[in-house]
Amino acid sequence: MKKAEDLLVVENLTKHFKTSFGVVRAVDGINFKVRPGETFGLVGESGSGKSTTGYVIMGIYTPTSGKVIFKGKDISTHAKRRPKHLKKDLAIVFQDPASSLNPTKAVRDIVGLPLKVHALVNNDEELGEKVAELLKAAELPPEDFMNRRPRDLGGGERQAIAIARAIATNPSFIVLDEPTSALDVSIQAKIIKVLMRLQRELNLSYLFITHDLSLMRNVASRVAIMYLAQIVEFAPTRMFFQNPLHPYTQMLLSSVPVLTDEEEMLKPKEVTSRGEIPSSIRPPPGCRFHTRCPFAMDVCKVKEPTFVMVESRHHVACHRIK
Amino acid sequence: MKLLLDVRDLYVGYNTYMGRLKVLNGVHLTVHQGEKVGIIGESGCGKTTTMRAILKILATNAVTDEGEIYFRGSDVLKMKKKELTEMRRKQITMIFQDPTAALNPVFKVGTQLADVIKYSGIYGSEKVTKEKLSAKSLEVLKEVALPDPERVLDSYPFQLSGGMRQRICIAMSLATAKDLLIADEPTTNLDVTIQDQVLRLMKNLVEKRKLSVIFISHALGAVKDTVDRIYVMYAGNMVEVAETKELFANPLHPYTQGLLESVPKLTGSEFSEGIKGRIPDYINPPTGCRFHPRCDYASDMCKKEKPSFIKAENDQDVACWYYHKR
Repeated sequence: MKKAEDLLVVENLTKHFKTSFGVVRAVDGINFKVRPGETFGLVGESGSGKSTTGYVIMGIYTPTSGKVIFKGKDISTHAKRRPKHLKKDLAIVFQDPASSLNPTKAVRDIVGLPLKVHALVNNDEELGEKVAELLKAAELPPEDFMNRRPRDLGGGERQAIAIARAIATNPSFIVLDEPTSALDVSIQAKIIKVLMRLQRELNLSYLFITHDLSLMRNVASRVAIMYLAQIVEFAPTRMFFQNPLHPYTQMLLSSVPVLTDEEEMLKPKEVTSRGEIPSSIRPPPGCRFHTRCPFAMDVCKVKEPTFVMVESRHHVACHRIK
Repeated sequence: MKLLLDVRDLYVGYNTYMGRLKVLNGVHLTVHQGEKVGIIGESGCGKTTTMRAILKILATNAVTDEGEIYFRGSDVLKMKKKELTEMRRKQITMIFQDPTAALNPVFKVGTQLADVIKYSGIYGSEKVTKEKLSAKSLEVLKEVALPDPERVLDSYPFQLSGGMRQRICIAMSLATAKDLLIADEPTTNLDVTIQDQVLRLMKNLVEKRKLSVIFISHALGAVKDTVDRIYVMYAGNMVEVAETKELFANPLHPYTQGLLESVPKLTGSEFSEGIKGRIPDYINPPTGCRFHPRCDYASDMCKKEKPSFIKAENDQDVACWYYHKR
């Protein structure tokens, strides 16, 4: 069988921001690949650099160094310098639909804008039809929503509009930046269902950014854990939850509040949470997690760990794992 | 157990330029001495409004139409200003959802903490000196496991992280709490590892002080680990009350069932569809049971009349016509 070609490859990607306090190292040399039709999950606490990664892929930021390769072409530039057909192929859904939708426009104009920009429709009538189709795909009855404005809608409905807009240009890759973290669980469940159905129907690849491990377990095929601008562990989802190896992953998992006894059994017992994520202006030397790690050894304070393959496709960067 | 707080049939609305938002629609809530009670429900269901009504710190456009709130036997709604101040200072403390908004940005942490301690009356008729206050401030910050407490006391809130700020708010509440602690989504803005630490800390201190607690949260798992009894709230009504274990093992109200099924599981079992629709418009709320437009079991009765609480199996109270009929 021929190996599925990677849709998106991120190579040694780095993004630093200059501020008056010093250089913020938001992303510091990360590597990963996303295959066609899969959901790649990026998990981490706030300040770990997961959103910045998504933004660099979208061209909202220019990378400091490293490469983003999409369908075999290097696209490590700002969106302004990217060709138009490329922008059509990449889309993003932001965390807060209240601020990502223009409050003065009607839903028809919001969802219709990418169609106009990329000249996918010829006249107003076609635009209306196409927007109705997109709203239906996002499970919103077009007749009810077409002419309403974002402020008249609930959070879940707004996010569904943002999704309709994201799929308007028929992209192959969508960055989902915490698409449900501002929503209630009952609404979240519905949005996730829509996203997963669209993925199947349109063969979409997702980069799913979240801090919610339980959600990740249900949506992602592979997961990467980010801590302070670096990836510390990645693995296929099932393997990952059965055998979390990095102490930080274990700490994250042990902190998740759960409802059932079966879930409780999945939580690592030997690590309890402590400390906070340090500043990314002056990250700790050696392994960046050593300040919070219960197993830290002397070598962790001076030498940065490299990735070790534990099982096929399960990689971890920790000195304890040989 | 002695009854500490008793909220009966409370109706609260907000006057807006579009009309009256009828939010609380006859809320009942009781907390016994030493009991830990949780309230769960979607955002906008009136959890915070209920808590603010208890402390009488509602927004200025709020109107309490009906109802009684008894704290230690005296009616909060009829209290004079002086009694209210006493109650807020010395008996009920609250941890707010957003520590950034709860702390004053222009005063140092030490000043704010000292003020709270000074007026809480923990020193009784003793003379309160600056030294005593700063010693006590240090002590409470150490209690909530803040590293480098001297520096924290000398900092402005913006110089600290969200987790640290929330721990300061917890320290403030716990330094002075005597009877009832209201924790209104104390960990919603925090990362899981920080949430875990803050909750552990809160639980330990509550045990040590033998406080009664009302704990409000979206994170159902966190509520489950913290409280003895849970109220499920929907659109200004309590719809189900049960012992924690019972509620999670055997949810009765259709809303509770939908809510619990929507929570993604670490084990990765089948994902639910969620609950259809969304929380109603409070200007023209649905008649009868406010959940009926979203309920799969709704009958004509549900559209006409509001169901009252009924004792179901296992001593659970549920407000649903489905159980009345049987």
